Amino acid sequence: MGLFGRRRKAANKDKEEAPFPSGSSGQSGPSGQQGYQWHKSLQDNLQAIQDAFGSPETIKLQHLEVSGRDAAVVFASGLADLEKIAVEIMQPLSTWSRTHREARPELHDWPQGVLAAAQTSTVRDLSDAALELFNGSALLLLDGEDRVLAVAVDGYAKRSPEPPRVDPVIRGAQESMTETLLDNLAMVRRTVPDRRLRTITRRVGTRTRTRVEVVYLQDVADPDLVTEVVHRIDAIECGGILESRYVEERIQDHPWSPFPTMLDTERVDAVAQALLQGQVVIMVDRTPQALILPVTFFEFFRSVSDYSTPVYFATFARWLRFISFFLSFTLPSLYVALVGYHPEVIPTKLALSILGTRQGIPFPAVFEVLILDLMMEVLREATVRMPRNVGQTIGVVGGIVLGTAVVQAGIVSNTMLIIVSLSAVASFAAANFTFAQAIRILKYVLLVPTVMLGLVGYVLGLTVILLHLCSLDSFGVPYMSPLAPYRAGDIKDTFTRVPHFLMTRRPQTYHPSDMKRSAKRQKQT
Amino acid sequence: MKPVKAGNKLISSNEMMPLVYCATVAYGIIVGPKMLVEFGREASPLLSALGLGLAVGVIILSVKMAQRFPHLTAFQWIIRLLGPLGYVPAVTLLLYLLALQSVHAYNFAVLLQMLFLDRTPLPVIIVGGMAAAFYGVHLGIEALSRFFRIIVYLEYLVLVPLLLLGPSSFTWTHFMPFYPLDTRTWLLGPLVALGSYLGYAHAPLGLLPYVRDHERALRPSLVGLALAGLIITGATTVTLGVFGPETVRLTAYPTFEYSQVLRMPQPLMFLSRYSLFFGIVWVVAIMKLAMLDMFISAIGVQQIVGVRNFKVALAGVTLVVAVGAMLIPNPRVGEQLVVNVALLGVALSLGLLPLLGLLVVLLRRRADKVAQST
Repeated sequence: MGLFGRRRKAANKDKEEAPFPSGSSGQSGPSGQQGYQWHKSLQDNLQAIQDAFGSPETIKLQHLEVSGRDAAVVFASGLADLEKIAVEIMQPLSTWSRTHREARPELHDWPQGVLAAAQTSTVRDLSDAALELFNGSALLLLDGEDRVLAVAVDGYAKRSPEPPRVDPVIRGAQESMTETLLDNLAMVRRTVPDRRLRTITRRVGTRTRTRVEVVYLQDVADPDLVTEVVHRIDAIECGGILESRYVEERIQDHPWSPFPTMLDTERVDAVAQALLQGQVVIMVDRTPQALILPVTFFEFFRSVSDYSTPVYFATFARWLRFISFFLSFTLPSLYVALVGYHPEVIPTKLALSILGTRQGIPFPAVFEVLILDLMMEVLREATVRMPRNVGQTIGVVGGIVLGTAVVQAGIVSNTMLIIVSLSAVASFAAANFTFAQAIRILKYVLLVPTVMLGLVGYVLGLTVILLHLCSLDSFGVPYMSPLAPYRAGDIKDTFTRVPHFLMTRRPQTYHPSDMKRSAKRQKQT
Repeated sequence: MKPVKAGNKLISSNEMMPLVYCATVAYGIIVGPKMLVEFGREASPLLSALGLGLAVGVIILSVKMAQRFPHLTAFQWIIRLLGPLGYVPAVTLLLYLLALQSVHAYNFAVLLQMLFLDRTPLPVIIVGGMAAAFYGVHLGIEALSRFFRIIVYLEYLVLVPLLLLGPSSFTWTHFMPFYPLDTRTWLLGPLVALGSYLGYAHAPLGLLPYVRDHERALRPSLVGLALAGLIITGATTVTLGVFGPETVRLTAYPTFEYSQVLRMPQPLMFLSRYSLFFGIVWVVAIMKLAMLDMFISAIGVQQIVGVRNFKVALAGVTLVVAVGAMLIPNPRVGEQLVVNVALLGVALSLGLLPLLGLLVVLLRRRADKVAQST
């Protein structure tokens, strides 16, 4: 059985065991409560909830009487805001009860005129009840009603928007997304307050039922692309989605490729920009990064800051990133090929200088690269895991001390230290962290043929990497576009950044429905 | 869950341009200038230009011919035209391609061993090159065409500056005089030039079924040929100008020799040998030709032998080519092999096939008579 087969079987197993299916059709419920439908008796319903959740510490119950009929408010401790329950549910109901003593209360009337809460919805079964409760809603049950109302009174701990940590800018908006999907959507809507901004909501994961939003501009994004994205999300079968990566790997075209075919960003303005140029954005609840698709290889060399800096500097910075990308994964291999196989290519003075630094080094160049690179990777991993205050210090001190020590001990040469450090620093110049991780892997991939065949192996390795890049697609868009296939109009925002007033058309690469950036706005006004 | 695949495996007509370019600027850049200077001496750039004109005509003809059978490869329409007898020339064409690739793989390995890898055994270089080519071809024609397009840009970025540096080292008398050429040279010279351009005219013939809008394939094919023509004519001119006809005749690979003697302006002297860049272009040029030929051969194996899976057919082709290359004892034997296969094809097409055709006609007539009498 192939790996995909195993994945599919595992997914099905998850589905069979999952207590809350994503279909939420009431086919299954908490253990012992499969297929439970709400009864007219309040006691029966409360008993069902108690049996289903089984933990009175988490699920709290508050009884009340509304115009002579028993009612109950059920909520999850720590997730619902007690003050909101009091102000938005209890107080209005008690007031209504006092003024309508003789009236027979009807649950479906309450959302419109009685409750103060802005968001209410009907809960169909216990599966829905779990979802609502653990998303911070309170359930409102009334004796004699075979339906349950969910009132949004969430009060769980939330993080406020902070300045971006991964891609900070000097000029421009200083807000990044948080773990709360609704807040993120609100920030995007505030940035692009267009009525044609559409969202398609899906719940993914049989256990977590994580909310996934597909966001796009209706008259700009390619409708086929939107359909394809939704289709792929619908096809996901898994137990839980804890982070956007879980979605990304299941819907991308080439999950085995080290190169990302979707762009993750925590910046709200980056999301807005993607929407405006016809891309689609996927936002996953509890993930402070949005996924932008489709993307091309060159998208990873663009930064949001390019559009808020002068054109010359933005172009210069972009080229710096291209050069850094190339240096970061080719420099160690090129050094090994030149020093180990073809020293005659290096100018005599430089060759003598390099040979001088390598005198007394017991290892061949490739081992030097591996020793230093592994040291660098270990330091990098360690500083990521360490507490932030200590990590930076240990990283800097460790790097300097270890670097100096290995050179003085005659294990590696000074030149190699420069090569590996330059390569490591250059890898961080990429505008995207996931892309930088791909570069780290490629460095080792390229070393293998270089060690075997010298410069010829180096060229063969580069050829294979380029072939691989040419074979990639991101949701039907060629990864190497606009270079191959060539799209003349898109080049101006690839290798250069032209002034904003010249960017009148959207990138052809993403097949937008409307090519002109300003046409619809005029129509609207 | 297996991700849903988007896109298809057909290319647009515009993507024919890099395919035709790369089919030409491969061996053409390596052997073309020597072949031309040996034959045309001082007039070789002119012969090259005339050859380019002929090549344009041939490309037009081959594309038009392929457009008559837009959904069939050369193997298929040979069989369609000749019936079951068509299998003979189709198989011969396949054998020719395989022999040619083996010779190319062998030459690739020998040259790399001579220039860069003097301590590496030939089989290791052959296997390395074939493995990379296999990887590229298995990705499909779409990926290959994108890769080739990027290579067009890179080759122009490297080759054009290298060639433009040539005139500073020219001995202008090497171009003079070109008029003493005899009539035979004037007549045959463009044909020799045509050989360096169109050794691989099968590119449009073999690839047209994979072009979505095949009716527009001619223009991009001509653009590809023109871009290749500029490079080969430029390389011929530069090698002639720098070395002169006598020296070019003595050198094995004049374009590579040129890159070795090239002296860069002082500010650019960060490498002592700029032939490195040419070496890289050269390795990639042979790789891309190998990939194109392997793709067409694998399609041929699928269509003639009936292998359904493209990767299996490709693996077979790779294995045969690699083993074939390893069995060649010296370049002379390799070239003889290609000539023999080509002669076999000519003999079969001109001799055996008409005989077989005649026999079939006779047998059919006889069978018809028997049927009528009964």
